[in-house]
Amino acid sequence: MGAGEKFEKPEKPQEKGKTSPEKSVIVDDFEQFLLETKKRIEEKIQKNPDAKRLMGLLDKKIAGIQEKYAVIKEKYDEQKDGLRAVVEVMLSRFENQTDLLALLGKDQELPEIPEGESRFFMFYTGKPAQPVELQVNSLFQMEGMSIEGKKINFRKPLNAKSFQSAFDNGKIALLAARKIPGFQPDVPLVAEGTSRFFVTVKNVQYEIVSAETLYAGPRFSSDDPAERAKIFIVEGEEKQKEGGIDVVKKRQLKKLYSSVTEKKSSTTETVEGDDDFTIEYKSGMNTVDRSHYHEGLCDAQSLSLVGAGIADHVDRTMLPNGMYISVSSVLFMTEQMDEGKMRKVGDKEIRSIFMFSSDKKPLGRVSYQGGKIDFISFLGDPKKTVFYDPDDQRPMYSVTEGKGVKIKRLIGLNGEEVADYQTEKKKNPKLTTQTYLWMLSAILNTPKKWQIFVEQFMQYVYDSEDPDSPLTPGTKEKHGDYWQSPDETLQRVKNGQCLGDCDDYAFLIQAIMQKQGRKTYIVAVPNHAICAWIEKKPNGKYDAFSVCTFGYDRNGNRLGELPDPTKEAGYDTPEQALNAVFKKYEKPGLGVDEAIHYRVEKGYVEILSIPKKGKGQAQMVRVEDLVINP
Amino acid sequence: MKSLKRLIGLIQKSPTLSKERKGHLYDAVENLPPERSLDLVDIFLVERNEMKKIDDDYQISLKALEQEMLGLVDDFEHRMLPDAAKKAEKKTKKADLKSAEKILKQID
Repeated sequence: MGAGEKFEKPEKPQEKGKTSPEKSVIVDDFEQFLLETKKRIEEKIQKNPDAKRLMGLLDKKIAGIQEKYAVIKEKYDEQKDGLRAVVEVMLSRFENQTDLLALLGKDQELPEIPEGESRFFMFYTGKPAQPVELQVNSLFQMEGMSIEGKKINFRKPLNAKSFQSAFDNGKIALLAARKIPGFQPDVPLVAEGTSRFFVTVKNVQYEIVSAETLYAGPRFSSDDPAERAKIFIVEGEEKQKEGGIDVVKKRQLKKLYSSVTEKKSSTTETVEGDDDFTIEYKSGMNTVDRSHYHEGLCDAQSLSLVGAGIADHVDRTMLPNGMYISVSSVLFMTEQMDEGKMRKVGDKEIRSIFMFSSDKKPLGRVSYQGGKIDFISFLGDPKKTVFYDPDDQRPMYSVTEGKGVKIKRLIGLNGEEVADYQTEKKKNPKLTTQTYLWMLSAILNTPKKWQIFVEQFMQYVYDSEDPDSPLTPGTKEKHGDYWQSPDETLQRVKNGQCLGDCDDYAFLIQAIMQKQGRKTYIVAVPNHAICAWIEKKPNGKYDAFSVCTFGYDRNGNRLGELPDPTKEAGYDTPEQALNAVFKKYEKPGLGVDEAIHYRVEKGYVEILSIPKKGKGQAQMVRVEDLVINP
Repeated sequence: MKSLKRLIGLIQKSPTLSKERKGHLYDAVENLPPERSLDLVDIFLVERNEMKKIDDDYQISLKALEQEMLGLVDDFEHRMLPDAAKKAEKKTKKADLKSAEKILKQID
């Protein structure tokens, strides 16, 4: 029976318990029956040595029967496949009819449509209501539609479920098509899927891609619907899309033709969609500023907008092997997730988006904490992870791991990894220590970055015992005290790190902060020196800060440790605040070999300076003088 | 309710649809209005009827082939094998006769 043949409806349903069409005793047993019978005859032949010549005859006869059986079985399978095809057609016709009725309204009568013919249905949709005429085929699929008299034919018939998307994009495409010189409104567009539209004008084929549903998304936002589409001139052989989303790669497009508004200004836009999600990003900077999901589920499309932002945000230089996450691959990656759905990310919830290349190879993942990017990791050897600043959502530092080595690198303003002065100078011979300090001052704008700076850039060495050779490292037992100027420290590099002891650290940190316009002091603690300052809060309380070999500290709350809220609140006097910072030296650490129980004495502290290279100076000042905003 | 149960039963027994397809249909039929579900029942009744026809045709063809096979068995067991046995016996007797004649000749 062919797929096109029609069935007669049964008069009444068959009773239960009678022959089930699923089973056939003979069907299952015949091959076995054939083999067993053959074996039985063979055994009898073998018992008679004179009958052995019959064996060949038996084989021939059995082969003949097997051949006949194969023909019968093939016919049966064909008929069953034919029936399956017919049932599928009937079911899809039924389903299409159901969807169409849902679209047109249940009161609508759907007549039987003969094969090869179509019928037209007129209805109103949208706000304000617009007349739409649908052309429907015998399987109740949409073959085309007319919006206010302008025709769009579907290259492949669509189910009524796709109507809304085809309608929204079709309206945009019809408006955008007017930009094509020589376009006649009575020339129908041909749609492929629901968002790509083709039209041939003067033997040139144009493709109009609606930005409403594709990756272009908010980047092409405009009040003018006609500008929410891209128009391409199609040239060369066009390849078919294979279920994936990376459409553009597979087509030969000569150029972007239309004057689509592609916003380049660094304004922040907010895109809202059906209360499901809100995405904010700086389009001009091409960076994701913030992304979060307000409630419930967010579909793959809206997520892809975030993904596209992330892809743009990741600088090429950060990716190993020059890989770059294309927008299409991010779209792909969103499809991988739980059938395209993603749950809202709570404020303290950590979620990951896994990234795949367009050829489906895993690239890595983006980890979110709340609505913010925590880190992006890229697979490969070495594996690279880029951590993001929770405050400004820019890449903060990278960790490269491979072959047993783990390297932490601060990330600069342009997304590049920042190396020590000597290495940077090799890249740029004109670089001076002063310009390098300026560069660091621009990068080190958050406490976390200061912490990374101290960890990455500094290597603690004892000062030389020999005053004539001050830059020769000393030992714990035998060492002198030489105060390096920031210039000296920057130039004294080993394995990518600046060598120095606590006072050298402190003077370098002070020099960078000075470039940031911040006033700080080098405070002497017995056998130790720190860069410190005190700030007065609007409520009259005081906060003391220190950056030193122990990292970044505010009121005794060291970065990276669980903060104590009572310390966060600040202190009544500058002395109390500074003493809170000194408390950490009660335990030994880098640059503090033995515990120091030190507190401000009689309201005075000793501050250090290097008025001249190699010449140190110390003076006693009142703690109040360390307050930078009295 | 009764018609829905019947419809689900019919889908379950469908000989042509895959498990996955059946799964989708179970979900879809839940929300169908009664008059639409009757249309769907019709589709599966048609399928069942047609499948029965196909199966009947197949079984008739197989029955014929089975008969042919049984005929072949009969031919071998009751004609060819006994014939072969008889021929062998005849041959043995002939050989025995020849050897007896030979012995007699030697005695002579």
